[in-house]
Amino acid sequence: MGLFDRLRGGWVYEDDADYVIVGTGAGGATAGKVLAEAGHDVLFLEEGPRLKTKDRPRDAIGALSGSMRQAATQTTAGPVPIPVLQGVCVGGSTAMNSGIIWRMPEDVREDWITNHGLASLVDEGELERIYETVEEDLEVSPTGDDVLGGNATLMRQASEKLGLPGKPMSRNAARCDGKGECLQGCPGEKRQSMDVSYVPRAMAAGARLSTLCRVEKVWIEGGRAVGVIGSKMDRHTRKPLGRFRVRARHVIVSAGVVHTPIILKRSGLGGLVGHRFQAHPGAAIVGRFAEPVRMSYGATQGYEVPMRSRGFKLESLSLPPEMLAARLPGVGAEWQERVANLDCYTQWCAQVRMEAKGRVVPGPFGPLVFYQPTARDLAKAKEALVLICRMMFEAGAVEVYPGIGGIPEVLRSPAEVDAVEAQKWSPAAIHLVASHLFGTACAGANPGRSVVGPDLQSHEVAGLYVMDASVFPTNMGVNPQHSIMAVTYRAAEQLALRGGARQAA
Amino acid sequence: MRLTWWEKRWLEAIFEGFAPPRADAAEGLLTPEPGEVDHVGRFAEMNEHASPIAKLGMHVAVHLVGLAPVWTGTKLAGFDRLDEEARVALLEELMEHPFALVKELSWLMKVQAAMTLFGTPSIRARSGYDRGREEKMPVRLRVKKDGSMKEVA
Ligand SMILES: Cc1cc2nc3c(=O)[nH]c(=O)nc-3n(C[C@H](O)[C@H](O)[C@H](O)COP(=O)(O)OP(=O)(O)OC[C@H]3O[C@@H](n4cnc5c(N)ncnc54)[C@H](O)[C@@H]3O)c2cc1C
Ligand code: SF4
Repeated sequence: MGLFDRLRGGWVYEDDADYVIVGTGAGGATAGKVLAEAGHDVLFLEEGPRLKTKDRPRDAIGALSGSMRQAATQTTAGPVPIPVLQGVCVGGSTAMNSGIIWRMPEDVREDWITNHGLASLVDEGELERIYETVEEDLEVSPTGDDVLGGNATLMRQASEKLGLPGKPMSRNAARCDGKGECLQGCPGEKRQSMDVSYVPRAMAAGARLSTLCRVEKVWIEGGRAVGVIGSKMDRHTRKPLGRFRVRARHVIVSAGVVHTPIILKRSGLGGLVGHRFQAHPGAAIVGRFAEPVRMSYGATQGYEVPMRSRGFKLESLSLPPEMLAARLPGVGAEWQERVANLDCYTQWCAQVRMEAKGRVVPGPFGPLVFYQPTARDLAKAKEALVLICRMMFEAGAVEVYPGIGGIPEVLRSPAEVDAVEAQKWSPAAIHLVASHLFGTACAGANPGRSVVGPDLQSHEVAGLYVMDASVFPTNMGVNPQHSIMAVTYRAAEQLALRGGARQAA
Repeated sequence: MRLTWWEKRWLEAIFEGFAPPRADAAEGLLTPEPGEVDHVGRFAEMNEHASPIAKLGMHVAVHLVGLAPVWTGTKLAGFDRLDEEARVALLEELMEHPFALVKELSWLMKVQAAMTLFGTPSIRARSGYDRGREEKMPVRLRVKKDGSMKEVA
């Protein structure tokens, strides 16, 4: 703790624990569950509130402003801003994700071993055991035909007609009854996000949870992490009420790819903190059908076409009506006609595994994310979006809306798709959104090329761990939650063994 | 997000420009009734937690479109002084504008208009979006040879 903190004093909240975990998303909740069930004293500190599922607003405005960082308006800095979506509530980004589950692809695992020295972290046998445990705990199963709904069913038909490698998604929602509201929080708690699975399990094993606690920095004494310091937030205004501090034997930072590096930097860590930000930015195409599709019924996301060798993955993605309407072309009567039939649309998106690497740095109004897709990345995005347009016509669409600057707003035939493909797309034309984020505190055996070691402990500060998607040295080309959970599960188990018996706070 | 009185007037007029309200609903169109949507209130609620840069962008967008009649040479007046036809025509022009910034900020206004409109339960109900859900029936669709779809049990 610096002189400034000592002089300022006036703590509104003080506590201590064996393990303090900053953040309750995929990484933090998993680490907490493992450590608490191993008998350790765990305290979660979460910046956001705990949202009761039944109280979460069902409209898009309420959903976005109540659970997402800056109401989903945070973007990358640069000439073509890309919205960066993250949850800020108990459960983190898992509280509004679609629950799509993918194991880490083998080529990624091998790359991490060969080029980053992470053999012990991603040991094949250990990961296999962990995947099975997590899949059982989170009720992972393929999306059933009865809850695919019109949006995903049409994608399946297009994929089958074109001979693409499509399949129903595996999701952590075996009991999904197709309410299509994952973004607003699953109304019946069918989807096993961290707020309804691993956080409660950790608490049942004795973990404690303090919400509305924004950690600002790690408290370091003699080169060792001894706790954290932050601000207690007001539930309604989300403005600081006063400062708090928590002492701990071990500090685990799991604040996500954008906020973890900011906490580390504020704590005096340097080196590669904030570097190697990566993502799978995505964009979506909407199609209009003559008959009702009924996007409102079915799993929010149910069908996918993985094309890893081409560097992208296509997914069906249902939207709340507010967001769907915004995607439909026209003004005045033209738009009013389209929005009068909101049950006649499909939306399919492409997630692109981009090679671009960016940086997260502290800025005057919060973190700045510098990130710019390369020309090759944009070419991959174009290939994916053109394929979606073709699939839509194959499925019987009467109109397709690419939503891409500089090309026609409405396509009415496959021949028009060919024309669009032949056109040059400007770099700013594609409206990308990023929800799969990686890097900024990368793991690796070589301290000169990474921030944390294979045990996810900081190379610089003893007792300080990072357990979230920031430790990923690369992106993967598949949905990340399961891999984040597996990697943090593994590191937390190793830490639990090393940590010995409970040293009650 | 705080708006000045003139921003409120422009905002209301811009949002109504995308979907002009009518007392008598037109066949086949989703038409809000006058006063049915609290555009300004919903907009403020939505942007309360927005990032400082997004808030700034929103003010810039309201001014850009609010003053568009002047800088496009349409009329020496704010957007709220245009009649319905002129509002629609101007918004169409802005959404197709050769300057990407103008196009993007006009599109931002459309996104916000869609959020406030369809966040209003009575409008959502008329959009047909929830039709499948009300029936609580699994919907399975098959594409017929002619490209149209049929529902199967
Ligand atoms: C809309 C959306 C849909 C997605 N869909 C899928 C999907 O279907 N499948 C999939 O695999 N992945 C999906 N993802 C991605 C996946 O959810 C994330 O990759 C994953 O949750 C990241 O885990 P994390 O632990 O790194 O961060 P998060 O889950 O984001 O958790 C970070 C936590 O830290 C807290 N925090 C941040 N700063 C502080 C601070 N200073 N003090 C205290 N707490 C703090 C946050 O509030 C948050 O709770 C989706 C993401 C989004 C946004
Ligand atoms: S689709 Fe609906 S029921 Fe299924 S998991 Fe998502 S919110 Fe829950």
